[in-house]
Parts: sequence; C-alpha cells; structure tokens
Amino acid sequence: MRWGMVINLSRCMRCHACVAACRVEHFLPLRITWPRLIAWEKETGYGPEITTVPVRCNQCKSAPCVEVCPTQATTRRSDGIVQVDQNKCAGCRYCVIACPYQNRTFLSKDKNPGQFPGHRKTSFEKKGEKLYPHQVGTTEKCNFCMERIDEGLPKGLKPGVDRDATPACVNTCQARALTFGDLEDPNSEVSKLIKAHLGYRLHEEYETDPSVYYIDPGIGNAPSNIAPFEAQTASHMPGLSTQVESARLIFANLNKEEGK
Amino acid sequence: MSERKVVLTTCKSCHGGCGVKVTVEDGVIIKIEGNPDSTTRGTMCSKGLSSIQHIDNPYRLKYPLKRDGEKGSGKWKRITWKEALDTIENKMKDAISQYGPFSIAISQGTGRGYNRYTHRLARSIGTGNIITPGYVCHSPRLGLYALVTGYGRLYCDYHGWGGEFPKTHIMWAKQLEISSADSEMAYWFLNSLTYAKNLIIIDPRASAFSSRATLWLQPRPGTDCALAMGMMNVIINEGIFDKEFVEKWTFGFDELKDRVKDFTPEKVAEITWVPKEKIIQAARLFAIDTPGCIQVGSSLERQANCGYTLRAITCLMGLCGNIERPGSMISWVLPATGLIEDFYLQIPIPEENKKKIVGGDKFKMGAARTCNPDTLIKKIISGDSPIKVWFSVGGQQIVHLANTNEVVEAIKKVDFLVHCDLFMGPMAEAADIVLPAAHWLELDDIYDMHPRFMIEAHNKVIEPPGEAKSDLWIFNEVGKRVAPKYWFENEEACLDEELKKGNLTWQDFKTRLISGCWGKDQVYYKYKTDYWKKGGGFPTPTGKFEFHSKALEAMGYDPLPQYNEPGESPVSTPNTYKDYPLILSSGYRQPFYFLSQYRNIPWLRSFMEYPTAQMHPETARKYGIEDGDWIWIESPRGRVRQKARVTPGILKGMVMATANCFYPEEPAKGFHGLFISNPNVLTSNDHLDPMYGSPDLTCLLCKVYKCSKEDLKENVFKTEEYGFVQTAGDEPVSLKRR
Amino acid sequence: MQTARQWMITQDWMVTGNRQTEWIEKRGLILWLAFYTGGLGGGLFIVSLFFNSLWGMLIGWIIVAVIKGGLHFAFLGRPSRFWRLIMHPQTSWLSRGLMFVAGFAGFGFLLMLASYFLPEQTALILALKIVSGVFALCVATYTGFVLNKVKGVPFWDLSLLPVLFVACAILGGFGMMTAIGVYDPSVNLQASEAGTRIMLIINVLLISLYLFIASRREGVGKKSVLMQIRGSISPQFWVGVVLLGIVIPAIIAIYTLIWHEAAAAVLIFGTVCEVTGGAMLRYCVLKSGMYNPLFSKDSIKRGPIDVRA
Ligand SMILES: Nc1nc2c(c(=O)[nH]1)N[C@H]1C(S)=C(S)[C@@H](COP(=O)(O)OP(=O)(O)OC[C@H]3O[C@@H](n4cnc5c(=O)[nH]c(N)nc54)[C@H](O)[C@@H]3O)O[C@H]1N2
Ligand SMILES: Nc1nc2c(c(=O)[nH]1)N[C@H]1C(S)=C(S)[C@@H](COP(=O)(O)OP(=O)(O)OC[C@H]3O[C@@H](n4cnc5c(=O)[nH]c(N)nc54)[C@H](O)[C@@H]3O)O[C@H]1N2
Ligand code: SF4
Ligand code: SF4
Ligand code: SF4
Ligand code: SF4
Ligand code: SF4
Ligand SMILES: [Mo]
Repeated sequence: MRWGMVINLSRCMRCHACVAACRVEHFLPLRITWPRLIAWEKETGYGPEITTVPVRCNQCKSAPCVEVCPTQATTRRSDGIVQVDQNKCAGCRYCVIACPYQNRTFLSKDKNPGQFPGHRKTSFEKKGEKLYPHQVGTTEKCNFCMERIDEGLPKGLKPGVDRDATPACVNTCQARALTFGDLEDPNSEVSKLIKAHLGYRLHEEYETDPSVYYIDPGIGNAPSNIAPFEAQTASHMPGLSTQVESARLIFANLNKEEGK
Repeated sequence: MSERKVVLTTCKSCHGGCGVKVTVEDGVIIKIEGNPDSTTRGTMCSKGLSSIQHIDNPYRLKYPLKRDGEKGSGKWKRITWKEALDTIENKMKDAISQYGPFSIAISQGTGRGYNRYTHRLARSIGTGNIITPGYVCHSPRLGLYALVTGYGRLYCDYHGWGGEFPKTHIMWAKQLEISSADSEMAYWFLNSLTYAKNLIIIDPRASAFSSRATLWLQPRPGTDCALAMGMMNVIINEGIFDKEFVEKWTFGFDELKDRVKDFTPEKVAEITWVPKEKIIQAARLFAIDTPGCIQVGSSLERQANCGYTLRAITCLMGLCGNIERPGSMISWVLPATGLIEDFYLQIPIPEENKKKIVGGDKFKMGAARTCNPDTLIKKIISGDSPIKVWFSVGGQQIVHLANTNEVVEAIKKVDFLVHCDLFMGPMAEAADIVLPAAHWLELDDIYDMHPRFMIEAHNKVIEPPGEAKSDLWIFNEVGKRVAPKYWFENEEACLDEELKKGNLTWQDFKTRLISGCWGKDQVYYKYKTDYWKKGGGFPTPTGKFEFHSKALEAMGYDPLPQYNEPGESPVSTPNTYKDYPLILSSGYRQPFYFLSQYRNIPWLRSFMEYPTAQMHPETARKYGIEDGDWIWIESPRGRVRQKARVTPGILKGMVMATANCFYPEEPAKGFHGLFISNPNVLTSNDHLDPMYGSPDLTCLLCKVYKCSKEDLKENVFKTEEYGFVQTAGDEPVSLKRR
Repeated sequence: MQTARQWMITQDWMVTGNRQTEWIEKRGLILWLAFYTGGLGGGLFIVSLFFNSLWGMLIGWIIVAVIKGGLHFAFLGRPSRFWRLIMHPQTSWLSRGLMFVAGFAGFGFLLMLASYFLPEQTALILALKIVSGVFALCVATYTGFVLNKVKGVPFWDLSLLPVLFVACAILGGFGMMTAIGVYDPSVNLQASEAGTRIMLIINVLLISLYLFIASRREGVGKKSVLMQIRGSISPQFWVGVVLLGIVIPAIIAIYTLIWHEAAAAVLIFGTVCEVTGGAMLRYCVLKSGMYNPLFSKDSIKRGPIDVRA
C-alpha cells in the first residue's frame, strides 16, 4: 500500500479551495499553507498557455527530508506517508532547506499571528489549539491528511473512494482535479489515470520517487456525450426529487399572472 | 466531555447553493465541508470554506447603530432594535402619507437568497422603486429569455437527465468555474465537461481553461453582439442550422437572415478583432456538434448594448435548435414547492403604478420589476428625487453603481437611508441607521437556486453575534409595522407560507434540506408537449420561438438584434481614444472574493492582497509597467490605483480591472478607501442600454501609468501581509467609534 | 515566506527559481555564523597543531565548542531538544557534524590538558593530536557536505564545496595564527605568513574554479553566480570575499614577503580581513543558494488542441 495523488493540470482552475480546505482541516496558522498553487503563464506557439500547478508534499519514497532530519522527527510510514513528529522536531530547518520542492515551512512565531492579527483569538482558533496543536519552533508540511486515513481504514473505508478517509483538498475540489488512492493497486483510480495519461512527477531526476503525479489530458474530445445511468437518474440524490404535476400548474398560472 | 453535532445546511457565501456539512463542538464551529448528498457532491470553494472566519470576525456588526455625526464620519451610537424599528416605521409612514408609497425605495445587492423578501416588502408597501444590480446582472438574460420561454429562465443542461450532456460548450463572457452559483453551479459544469467534445471560450481575458479549450476567441470588449451576428451569418450561409426546428418552431427567420447578411466574417473580424477563421470555426462547432449550450456571463449585461447582444445570442441558440433538447438550453420544470417568486408575485404592482417607477418610462424591460439606479442617482443629484426613504438590505450600491463620484454625492443626499449588513462598509457609513444581519450559519431560511429546479434549506448552526438578526426577521418586523396585512407573526409562519404549495412545513423541510425536480422527472422538448401551449408551441405571442420578438416590437424596440458600438470605444469616440488609448473592462471575478466582499477575511485576503489590473506584456512594456507595479488607471471620469498584473493571457491594448473593491481596514472617512481602487470611479452612467438601462461597465476607454511613491500614502499600502486588522487597532475603527 | 506581499500567493512561486531563506535570513544569520565559526575554529586548531601553539588550540577549541555550539543551540526552534540532533547519523550530515563537534571538544580538551600538565607524555600527546586533528578537520569540512546534500540547489551540490570550505578554513586558521603569533613569540611568524600566502593562492584558484564550474551548470546555477558577481549580493562578494578576503591579505602577504617585517597592527588588520572574508564567502554561498524551478520548461507537455471542424 502506498498512498498517492494525481493532479490534473487541465482541470485545475486556480480556485484555491484546496488551500482553504487544508486550512480548515488542520487549523493551519495564518501564514502556513501546506498545499500551494503556482501560476504558470507563458507565451507558446499556440498563444498564451495559462496553467496552475497545485503542489503539496510529494511524500517521496526516498525523501531528502527524511534523510537529512537529524532528530528522526521526519520519518516515512509503511504506507508511504512522510510524517513530521512535532514532539521530536528540534527546529533545525535542515529539511526545509533539503526539500527540493520547497514543501516544508518552519513555523516561527511570526507565522502564527492569529487569524486577525492584533485582535483577540476567534473561538475557532481556540478550539484548534486543542484539537490540532501546531508547535511553534517546529517544521510542518502536508501529511496527506493521514489523520483521516488512519481514522477511516479501521472503519473499513477506502481512501480515495470514501470521503471520510480521503484528503480534505481532494474532497472539496469542484474541478475534481485531484485524485487520491493506492499507487500499488493497479485498479485504483490513480493508477489508471497515471497509466492512461502518462502521469509524470516533478524533477524525477532527483530520484526522490515522489507519490504525487501530474497529468494534462486536456479538455474536450470526449468519446461520447451520453450520460451514464446514475447521471440520468440523479441517483446520488435518492428520493429527493419532488413530483412534477403541481409544478406544471404553477407554470400555467404564472403565464396568466405575468401576462406573458 | 465535549459534545459534537453535525448540521447539514446550504452555503450562500456567493449566490449560494452548495450543500454543506458543519461540525460544531460546544457551540463552536470546528469544521465546514461539503455535503456529499447534495447536488454539488460535497465540493466547496474557498469562499464557502472560509465562512468560518465570518464568525468572531472583528468587522461584524453586532448591534443596531444610529449615525452620530455627518455621513461618512464613522461616528455611531448603539441603539436598541425597538428604537431602530420605530424610527424606520415612522419615517416610512410619514413618507407614505406625504408623498405616497413610491417615495420609498427598497434595495438589495446581488442575489443572496432573500430577493423575494425585498420584492415582497416593496410590493406590500406599494412601491415599485426597487433597486437591485439586476439590470447589470441576470435580469436582462431572464427577461429576454422570457420572451421565448415564458417565465424567464433558460439554463444550460449540465445534468444529463435527458440522457445527453452538451457536446459543445460556449463560455461567453463567463468563467462559471469560479463565478459558481451564477446561473449554474461550477460543479455541474465541470462535471459535464468530462463528456464534452468542444469547449469554446469567448473572452478577451484568459479564464482557467482558455489555453486548453477547443477554441478561444478574444473579442474586443463590447462587440459580442457583432460576433453573434457573424456566427449566425456563417451558419445561415453554410446552411448548417437546424432546419427542422427553424421550419416548424420559429418565427421571423427570413428577417433574421436579412439582418445578419451584412455581418460577414470579414466585417465581424474587423469589428471584434477576432480572426475570421476562428469566427467561422466557432459557428461551425456550435451548429454541427449539437447539442450545445451557451453559458452567458454578466459581463455582457454590464454593457449598454446588452439587450440586443443577448437577443442575438438567444437567436443563435434557436438557430441551432439548441433549445429544450437534452444537453442544450432548457427551462427547468419547477419543484413541488413551485416558483419561489410567487411569494411576491402574489402582490402585483398595479399597472398605473409602473409609470412611477424611476426610469420606467425609458427602460421598459427593466421596469418590469425594478427601477433604474443610474437614473435615480441623476435625479437625486439634480434635486428632484422622488425617494425620501431608502431601505437597503445588503448591497453596496455606493460601490457597485457606475461613476462612484456621482453615486457618493447622491447617496449622501438621501434624506433617510437604512442599511442592513453583516459588516461595516461604505454603504453603511453613508446610512442613518445600520442594522446587523445574521450570517447564513446563523439563520433559518429558504435558499432559492438560480435555475429554479430546486430550493434548499439554510439551517441555523450557531447563534448570531450580539443582537444580529436574520434578514427574514428584519423584513418581517418592518413589514409587520408598515404593511401588516402581508406579513407574518414570525419567521417560521413565513417559511411555511413559502413552502405550502409543496405541502411542506419548515419543520419537514429543514430536515429534508431540498425540494427539487430532476432526473427522470424533468421534461424536455416542452414545446412539443402542451406544457407551454395546448397542442405544443412556445409561450410567446406567435407561439413560436421568436427571432422577431412581437413583445419587443410592441414596446417600441427593434424586434431583431442589432449591433451598436459601446458608448466609449475606438470607433464611437475616436477623439477620446487618442487620449485614452486602452480599452478598459472592469468585469472579472476572483475565485476568493465575492464582489467587494471578503477583503476582511484573512484566509481569502491572503490569496490576493490587492485588486489587480491585468494587461498584456506588450501593453505593459509600452507604458513602462512591470508585473506587481502599482499603477494609475485613468478614464475621463477619474482615476484609481490597482496593482499591475502582467500576463500573456489577455487581449493586447486592453486593461482588465478588478471590480467592486474597497478596503475594510481603511478609515470610515473616504468610505473605507472607496476611491482608492474601485473601478466604478472610472465607469460612466451616461450611456445606457435602451431596454434595461445597463451602463457600460465592461467596455470603456482608459490610460495607465505608474504610481509614484507619494501616491501610496494610505494605510493599505503600508500594512504588513495580513496585518490589515492592526491598522484599525485592536477593535476595528468602524466598530470602536461607538 | 514566498507569499509575502505578492499579488497572489500563486504568483511565480518557484517558476523562475527562488532563494533559500531559512538558513541566511533573519535568525538564519545565526546558522551562517555557526557554520563559519566551525570552519574557522577547526582550521585554527589544525594549524595550531603544526605550530604547537597551545594558545591557538585553546582559542580554536573555544570558537568551536563554545561559540559554534552555542550558536547552533540558539538557532534551534526547540533548543530543549538539542540532544535529539545526534539521533540520525546514519544519513544526516547535521547529526554527524554535531558528533564531530562533540568528539573534537572532548579530545581537543584532553589534548590541551595533556600537553599542559604532562608535556613529557609525547606518545599520548601525539595520539591525541592525531585524533583531535582529524575531528577538527571533520568539523571544518562537514558543513560543506551538509549543503552538498541539497539536491534542489545546483550551486551547492558540487563536490568541490567541502574542499573550498576546508581551504578557506585553513586560510582563516593561518590568519588567526599570525595574529596570535604577534603576541606569542613561540609561534613562527614567517612560517604562518608563508602558509597564509600558499593558502591565499589556493583559495583564489578554488573560488574562481568553483564559480566557473557553477556558472556552467543549468539556468539556476548560473543565476547564483551572477547574483554574486553582479547581482543583489555583489557588494558582499566583491568587498567581502574578494577585497577583504583576498586582495588586502594578498597585499600584506606580498609586503611581508619583500620586507620580511610588518607592523603588528598591519598583521592583525590582515587577519581581521581574512576572517571577515571567509565569513563573507560562506555568506555568499548560503545567500545565493537558489532552487531549481519546480518544473523545467517542457514539463507541461501539451498545448491547446487544434480545431477540427
Ligand atoms: N465596475 C463594475 N461594477 C459592477 C460589476 C462589475 O463587474 N464591474 N458587477 C456588477 C454586478 S454583476 C453586481 S451583482 C453588483 C454587486 O453588487 P453588490 O451586491 O452590492 O456586491 P457587494 O459589494 O458584495 O455588496 C454586498 C453587500 O451585502 C452584504 N451581504 C452579504 N450577504 C448578506 C446577507 O445575507 N444579508 C445582508 N443583509 N447583507 C449581506 C455584504 O456584506 C456586502 O456589504 O456590482 C455591479 N457593479
Ligand atoms: N467567486 C466569485 N463568484 C461570483 C462573483 C464574485 O464576485 N466572486 N460574483 C457573482 C456575480 S454578482 C455575478 S454577476 C457573476 C458574474 O460572473 P461572470 O459572468 O463570470 O462575470 P465576470 O467574471 O465578471 O466576467 C466573466 C468574463 O467576462 C470577460 N469579459 C469582460 N468583458 C467582456 C466583453 O466585453 N466580452 C466578452 N466576451 N467577455 C468579457 C471577463 O474577462 C471575464 O473573464 O459571478 C457571481 N459569482
Ligand atoms: S481546488 Fe482543485 S481546482 Fe481549485 S485550486 Fe485546488 S486543485 Fe485547483
Ligand atoms: S516533497 Fe519534500 S517534504 Fe515532501 S517528502 Fe519529498 S522531500 Fe520531503
Ligand atoms: S526541522 Fe525538525 S523535522 Fe526538519 S530536519 Fe530539523 S528536526 Fe527534522
Ligand atoms: S492532502 Fe490533506 S494535508 Fe495535504 S494538502 Fe491536501 S488537505 Fe492538506
Ligand atoms: S460556490 Fe458559493 S455556495 Fe458553493 S461553497 Fe463557494 S461560496 Fe458557497
Ligand atoms: Mo452580479
């Protein structure tokens, strides 16, 4: 089992929902962002190419950050997630320097000025300090929402399939630009996408073996526009549709009323 | 042991609509996430998720306030609800008895799920002077679609309920992916993209998918009508239109054919700056790869030719038979609870009163429901304003109307202005009484989704701060006092009334969460059934889809689309163009702001600290501007500062300014930095659309140049990253002044 | 943090490549000093071994064990967890470095004790000399490997870096030695000056070679070099590294070469210059540490679809 993510560059629309979701999920200090979006805009032969590249910790298999961490606060779990134990981290920042993707941030005091700097803490913040403490003086990064995974698995939930075991950013993405799942399972959605669209990773030459893949299949050219059965029946909203007849009547009345 | 509960509700941090799951621990919201069992399948945007920061937000209004100094001085005195409501009641009653009900104006901002209360209050009082941004936002679309489909709604079928998804999407002046909940929800569109063959984007500026779309047309702002006519020209000449539909179900085809014959691709290319090949390709794709739909953006409605532009686009839909078929444009069947508007349509405006609607004599289409704000502003300034009391619920007219200088002058002149809002802002600063409104997490109400195939429930999650009250409560209290006959003993009674057609009560509905009509229950090809007319047909005078609109003709408008240059453009005002050599458009949304809102929400402010003006590298180079520079944007009306955003993704020779902005952290004097960056300082309210009175907000002329150091003195330029609350001290200025 | 004061947090972040900040800006300056003092102290100690200068060893020892150690401690976000830093010597050069420092502190101390109280124990002293000498060398070298390990920064991952750091350390060592020699007659000034001259030449060669190689590397490596030669930190480079670190000491060196005599003040001044120069060299190396952009030019593969109609 190795958790991984596939990011669809054709779909990402720079909406920042993933960032917000992560902030909510982990009560992130104001100036810490685990996932980030990179605006990549350049002229090409075809005209301007506007791309947004969402980045977050790649959960590298041979992770420089793990290698250089002198305290063993950063370790790689058997499921591939690279985790930072805030109770062990001494705050030397070597990992911050060593991550070639710059996905780590050192939480200094000034990065946690409170959500409304210079103002009293909000009730949400106060709760957060208990529910998801962030130790000033240690280093942070995306952890693939391992809390959700660890809670979900025992309940028999499948990360990437069942929301409650899936990363918050993946759940919230309206464009469905993010897909999560097991890279080692050839039938998982992620494996299929990587195969179908020649998924690639950032700076493979570093030999860090990241678990975050990128695909760019483009938009349009769908083989068919026929709606699958679930869509036709709106089966995700079982029994919620209210019946039609009265609607027709209203319709009739209205035309009279508006004199149209 | 702390207890947790989960509340299911509906977000309206934009126009709203996403199903939301809120986790509360000991009365504190600890998580907001999407509700998977909703039409948006558990997805949410950054605005909705950041709603957590509306709670305990230092900028929130908590108590009714009374002005305690001249307008805009930011001096306030806390008063009781009783005093506030008594004052409002008396002022209104005096005005009615002295000048009649039309001396009262009821206003709101863009749709926030309480539109029906605004209208009901107005109608119950007996005034037709309702002020909304509708005339630059949606109303033209609805009204003009209504000319062919009756009750005025025509939407893109992104759902596949009829078995097909659209093959060809046109995003016309629209970036639905981020302006979600305007017409449709982004999620629906994005989901249907998976089944699309072509995506055509018609936008001078790159939106998220431009560079990966099948086709991207970059028209000169304000020339879209010509483009639509050009496309029809191609389609008709190549004979690729839907012959059967045109034959059987349309009226006035020959006239249309005649009208568009001069709009050859060559000529249109000249007008719109779009290469002729692209015009032809777009036309072919839309006509051949059917079904297709056109998502129209309100940038087209923020133009003085909006009426005819939308007519042209509607004709284009009809020409290709993209009406009422699965995967095309469709007018949805309503849910059992019926048409939400009935809640105010029950109280009609008497015909003779329609005349009294400000601007009603000129802008007949707009006057169907609301008055014309720009005309009103002019009237107030010239001193013959019929308005004595202005009751404003939400909405920042002072920010969003064209020509801010005039608007501010006018609004200061209003005898008695009440503003109801969640936050202290420019409009509130200009008011005599300010009422604190509850956030959607703090109220029970019914949410009316644009496409009208469903309504949803807002369920109260936590208590509002201080003495803040839900808009429904406020409307109802005011209503009870001035028009008791039409209002209810409490909010629940009101909600029950709204639901009764579906034989639902609020108590049932709040758990049910949604009343909708979808899947197999939807009816397509209504014109082939006797849905609209016995024996089939459209709900129009001719019973056909009208290329030639009888209704418009009757009102004295051109029954067919016609192209007119914007009021200010290289063509219409070549002299102004010499001094203002760039085209200015001030319409584009950011995913994390909602109009002028959310610059006081740290999470959202962090994404884009300052309003930005986009321009092409070549344009920038020409004026010595670099990415990130503070620049002046100047038009004949005035000048504002925004941050230059140099990007290849925009038409050369134009500037796209961020719309609707003020700075909450700026002091009340100067209306919270209203004049610093708000592009409406630049826009003109002199040249208006004949049907709706919409001003040119997205197609004007301007020039740009760098700011000097001295130009950047205000607080906002000094504040540190996210430090914006500090400038206002521990308690934000606007509240401390109590 | 990159996002500060940008128009939007996405803007350009890591598109054009951006600098490492944690280890050189704000509190990061502490780390820079820690790294340099390591080199300086180590270098001085080694040199002192040759010159048999107890003073030199003592000062070198203090610089490393006390100052460097203290600085490292002060830099940590969680100083109370200082001890954890040695938990991962298998792969982490920081852990190893800390062990070197510890070892050096220990044996260096013993060596000084021995050579002070039992100078006749030549065998023991020689042994201690060798051990502590090796440790000193490691202390002076390991920072080179620390940076060398960082894949993302082309300017750093040249195997020449540790060599450069040692050379610069030894140069500093000779410099300090000279200064000490001014007061401690037991030091052979001529010899230390001679050493300085040799090391100066070696340093000049190494630095130029290093910059040359780095500038030949892909985009960002070159950028790092340009930053120093004519970019934002060119003052630090030209004044600090070149003028103070090389030119002035060189002048003094030549002067002493010709007249065999130089005023104490001049020599001290020379030393100060060399030391600052060394510090500035480390500063420039850290400051110009620029990451490769997150994606190479072509890493986004496809352009828009051409139209079929
Ligand atoms: N130049 C230019 N001008 C434009 C536009 C443009 O693109 N360019 N866009 C136009 C368009 S389309 C529109 S719709 C208008 C937008 O005009 P507005 O609707 O005025 O937009 P906002 O500035 O967001 O003002 C909304 C106000 O209502 C408050 N509010 C939000 N929710 C609630 C609620 O539930 N209850 C109450 N009581 N108050 C609430 C907010 O705090 C805010 O103060 O601007 C128009 N003006
Ligand atoms: N996140 C977010 N969502 C919102 C809002 C928000 O402020 N933020 N506002 C809400 C409101 S009130 C409204 S009305 C809708 C508006 O939502 P949209 O209809 O999407 O309006 P805009 O985003 O202002 O403009 C859409 C596109 O029109 C382009 N455009 C500008 N001028 C022209 C022109 O002359 N011709 C053509 N073809 N294109 C042009 C702009 O570049 C822009 O990309 O969004 C709603 N949703
Ligand atoms: S939520 Fe999805 S679409 Fe939005 S920015 Fe993140 S990845 Fe892109
Ligand atoms: S991306 Fe960076 S932080 Fe994440 S595992 Fe790889 S090296 Fe470590
Ligand atoms: S900062 Fe913490 S996690 Fe990073 S390397 Fe140092 S100890 Fe390990
Ligand atoms: S996976 Fe979880 S932790 Fe990582 S960015 Fe997404 S939400 Fe944040
Ligand atoms: S799109 Fe609108 S309704 Fe949906 S989450 Fe965002 S703000 Fe809320
Ligand atoms: Mo709007």
